[in-house]
Amino acid sequence: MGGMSVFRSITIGQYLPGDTLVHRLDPRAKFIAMALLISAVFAVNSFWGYLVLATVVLSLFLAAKIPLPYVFRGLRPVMYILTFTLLVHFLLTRGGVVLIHLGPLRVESYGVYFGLFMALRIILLVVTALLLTLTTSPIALTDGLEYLMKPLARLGVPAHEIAMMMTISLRFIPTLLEESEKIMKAQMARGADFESGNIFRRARSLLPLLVPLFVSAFRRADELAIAMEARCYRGGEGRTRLHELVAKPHDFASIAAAALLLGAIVWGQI
Amino acid sequence: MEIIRTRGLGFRYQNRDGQDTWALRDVSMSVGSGSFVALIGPNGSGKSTLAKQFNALLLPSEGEVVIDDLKTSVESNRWRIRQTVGMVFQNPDNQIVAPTVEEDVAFGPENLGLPSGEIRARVDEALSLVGMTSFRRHAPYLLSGGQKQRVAIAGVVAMRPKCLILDEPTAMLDPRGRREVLETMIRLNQEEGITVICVTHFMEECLAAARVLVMDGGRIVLDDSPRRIFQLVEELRARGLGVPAVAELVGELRAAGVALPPEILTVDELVGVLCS
Amino acid sequence: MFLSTENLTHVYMPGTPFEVTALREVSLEIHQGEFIGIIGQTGSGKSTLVQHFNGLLKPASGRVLLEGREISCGKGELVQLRRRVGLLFQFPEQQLFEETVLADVAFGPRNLGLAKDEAQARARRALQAVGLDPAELAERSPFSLSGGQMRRVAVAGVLAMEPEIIILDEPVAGLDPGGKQEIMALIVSLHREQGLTVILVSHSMEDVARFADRLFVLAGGEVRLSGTPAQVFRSAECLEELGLALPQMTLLMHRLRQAGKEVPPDVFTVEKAKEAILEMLRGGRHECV
Repeated sequence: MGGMSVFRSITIGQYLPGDTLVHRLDPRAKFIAMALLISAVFAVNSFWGYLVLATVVLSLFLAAKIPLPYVFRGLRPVMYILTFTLLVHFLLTRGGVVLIHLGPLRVESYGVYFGLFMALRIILLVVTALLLTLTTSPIALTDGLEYLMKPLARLGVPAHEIAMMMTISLRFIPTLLEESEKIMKAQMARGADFESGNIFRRARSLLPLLVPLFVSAFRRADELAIAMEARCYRGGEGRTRLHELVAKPHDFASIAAAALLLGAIVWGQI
Repeated sequence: MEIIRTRGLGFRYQNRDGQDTWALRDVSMSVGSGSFVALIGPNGSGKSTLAKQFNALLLPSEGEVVIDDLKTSVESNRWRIRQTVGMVFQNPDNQIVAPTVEEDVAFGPENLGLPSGEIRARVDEALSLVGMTSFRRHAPYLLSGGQKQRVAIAGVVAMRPKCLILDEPTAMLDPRGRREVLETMIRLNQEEGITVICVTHFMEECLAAARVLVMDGGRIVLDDSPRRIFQLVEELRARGLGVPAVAELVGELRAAGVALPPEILTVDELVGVLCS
Repeated sequence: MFLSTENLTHVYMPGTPFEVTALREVSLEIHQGEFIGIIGQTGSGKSTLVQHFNGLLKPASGRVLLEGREISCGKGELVQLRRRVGLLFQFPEQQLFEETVLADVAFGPRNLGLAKDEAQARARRALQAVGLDPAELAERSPFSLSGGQMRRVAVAGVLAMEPEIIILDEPVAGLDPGGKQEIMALIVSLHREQGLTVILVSHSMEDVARFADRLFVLAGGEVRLSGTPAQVFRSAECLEELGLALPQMTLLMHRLRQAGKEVPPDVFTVEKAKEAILEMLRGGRHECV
């Protein structure tokens, strides 16, 4: 029961089921559209460009009916980077009108603009990726990736095996987290201390946690492989899927829309 | 109709110290279609090893194993054999491959290359047979041990096997989980006619079976109905096996001169006899 | 009284939509040298309860007391607490990690600040106490042992800290009948010969009834029944309602009593059951058999 506490607090990238248009889009279309959107985020350089992009992304979130708290929680990991970016530009980038001048402290308008734009760029990047993972189930994600990687299979990239590994990893992450919590507690009951000491001591103190986890992971892999064989698994050859990916008109439309957006942004810079 | 037949089956492997050990010796037996068999024995008796011979996970060193008229030693038979005989293992977690229940149950049919619609139908059917339909979209880590094990069973049942082998399926479960799995095994055997072979050391599971095979030292030493096997309290004890407490009590009472029929196995039966 | 709780409450993930009250105002007392059984289904709060005894979990409200003093979770004190109160989790063989058996069993003593020699001496004593031969096993890798041996090494790992109380969470989980008997015999001998206070957590009454001085039956985070096994088994209906399987012999007595027979309700071994039934058959001449 208590084992749940650790990973429930991890909501970054967790799938939030729903039935909106965004949810129903083919994952391959979403991947491509996201790639195009991210390119646009890197290409954008004007106030209007940012405004358009931000509006598009915001409306996608609204269309997907994602509650705001999930967005904030998704942004938490990059809080430090965002704050750092803002501070660096506010304090160091020169140009334009001087806004604040108190002794050594000097803030000028270009600094504020750049700071805000760079921060916004980071936010848009994270939030676009978040949009993908919140609206697409892990299986759909790996299925989409497997399909998109197929052309690479001709170059020797094991697309099916990579997708299978991703699926199995996704399946076991919560289980492994629970197990590590349990092992930590067992070692703490023997007086182990995972918290104090310098970085070297703390790294060493992780051995009683990592060794059992690895040993157990290898045994899991062994048993899982036998169970898979017993269910007639023999690689990707001839495998079908429960959920077939079927591209529909709205999928092509979304890719086209993202492409147009990218085009407009790039053209707007010229 | 026999679904499993072994003749002079022997299995040899190299143990931890590098020595040749015979885990199975001269095992000749058969299992009729639709039966419910319990396979018991002390640690090291070879019961798990025997179970794994039935779906070609292990191959004979001597003798032969024939599943539904297919020899396990012929490599090209293995695919069909594993469709005919499905296997469920001890650790509920280490059989579930996919992040959701229905995707995992679909794993087997997907491997068989069935069309999407057929897979859907089989997944729904299998989930319903084990009573896990409402958990279709759940992630495995949210399930109890008994629920996970039922998902594992569904994953095998979705391949429509004729025979289901379970290797100590309840060893890691709590009493409720054990009940759930036992009920599922009984239902699959009685309602779907699936042959069930259960390797176990729990008495309740033996009592549910129509036939109990006792193994010791790599051989089958006893083969009879639960009622007759569990009368042999002394012999089972000597082999390091447990006996249902009621059977043991009945043995003691009879030895003390009380006139009781020897084949009493459950509390209710004993109460019935004592109060009639 | 040695170890006790006063209105102990524990809430998992408070303030979130996943909030769960695992323990509700639990108050109990355990005396030195007792053999206590804590019984309950999965989710009853039993594992949560015992994790408070060595400071792995802190109460949301209420207190945990050792020898009358509230246990403190300050840095230095925690290690001392965990020396006195040993805890072994379910499937404890999963905690083995060192290169040799001796090093693994010595891990606990080392964490207590003992020098290598002293720690190893304790480790050897602990290995002997669990029925393993230090000379044979000390230098072997823990992963080269059988499952049963690994479990014993894990028990030795906790014993090497020389605790006064040892808590075992489902120590016989996953073992076959022979293995179960061996481990239970080991625990009983530790209780008798070393005078340890033993707390055994289990979802099986059958395993615990024979050896425990007192039982606590938990359900829904509360103590529903407590007392000696004999006392607890008189409330057979309550136990059945809670979904806890009575030991076979106790169930037999209960059903016989329901059918109007005069048999004691607090029987849980085949021996006693045989005596009770022979008594019943001798005494009741008007009862037909």
